[in-house]
Amino acid sequence: MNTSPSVKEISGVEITKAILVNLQKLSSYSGEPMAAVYADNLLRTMRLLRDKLSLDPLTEVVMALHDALVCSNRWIDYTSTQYQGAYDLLASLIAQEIITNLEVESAILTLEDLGFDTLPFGVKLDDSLDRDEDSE
Amino acid sequence: MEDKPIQEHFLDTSVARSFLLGTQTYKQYFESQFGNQPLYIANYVQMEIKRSYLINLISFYFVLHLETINNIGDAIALWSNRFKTSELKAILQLIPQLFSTHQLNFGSDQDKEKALCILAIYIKRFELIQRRKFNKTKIDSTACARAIVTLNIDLKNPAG
Repeated sequence: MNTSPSVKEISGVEITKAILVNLQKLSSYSGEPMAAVYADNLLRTMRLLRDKLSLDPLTEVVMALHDALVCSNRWIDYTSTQYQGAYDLLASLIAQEIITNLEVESAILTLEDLGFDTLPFGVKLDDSLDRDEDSE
Repeated sequence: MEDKPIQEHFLDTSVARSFLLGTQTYKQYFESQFGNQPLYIANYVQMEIKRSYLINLISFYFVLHLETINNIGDAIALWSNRFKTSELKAILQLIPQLFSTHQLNFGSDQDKEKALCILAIYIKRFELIQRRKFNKTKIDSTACARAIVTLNIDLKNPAG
């Protein structure tokens, strides 16, 4: 029985379609109570993609958006225009057969340009860390 | 009315790093100050960001990757025993936020693989943004040899 590659591919397509649907809905309902439902669906679907297709280049882009949305519930603050931008970006990537590393990088930078903070985790480091010794 | 000249900013390590890793409020403050004006850093600053943060994340990735480490909690415990305060601090601040955001269980053996994937993706993203978010001055007045040493991440052969 022929196995995983084709099965995973179809499954990935379905998951990514679900991500797009939820992003579109989030764009439409941004700022309204219904947005919470679509945000929850979107984040769950993104994590499903992470679990099913962890090595797929698209997952890197989706995870960048996931982290930007989920940390401190920042999905509430993003606007309809930003969600539409994310939708357009992901839709264009999904339409491609192959996504190169350069395209992944470009997509993450586009998310940043759209205003999504893809490094949302606050870390406070000491300045002394800059000059740590080689010999320990 | 005269056009306001475009102001350019040269960031030192503490500002560049806070720009990437600060809290939301801190980042909003920087954005209010800099807007869309060009930001510059030197190779030396980039090297300092890598040495103070990125390298610790990569080291933690390898700790989590060890066969003898069963879950995220084990990796944190081992890391806490092996490393000095500064390295510990960087990891202990990021890891709970990152893995909690992804709803991972720190005691679950099954979540170890997910954690490795998430951490690898975060490391790649951090490296990308610290490399591309700022313009390079191409002038390193410190002439520090460390500043030009490249840091390559090969996810297909992480132990290589």
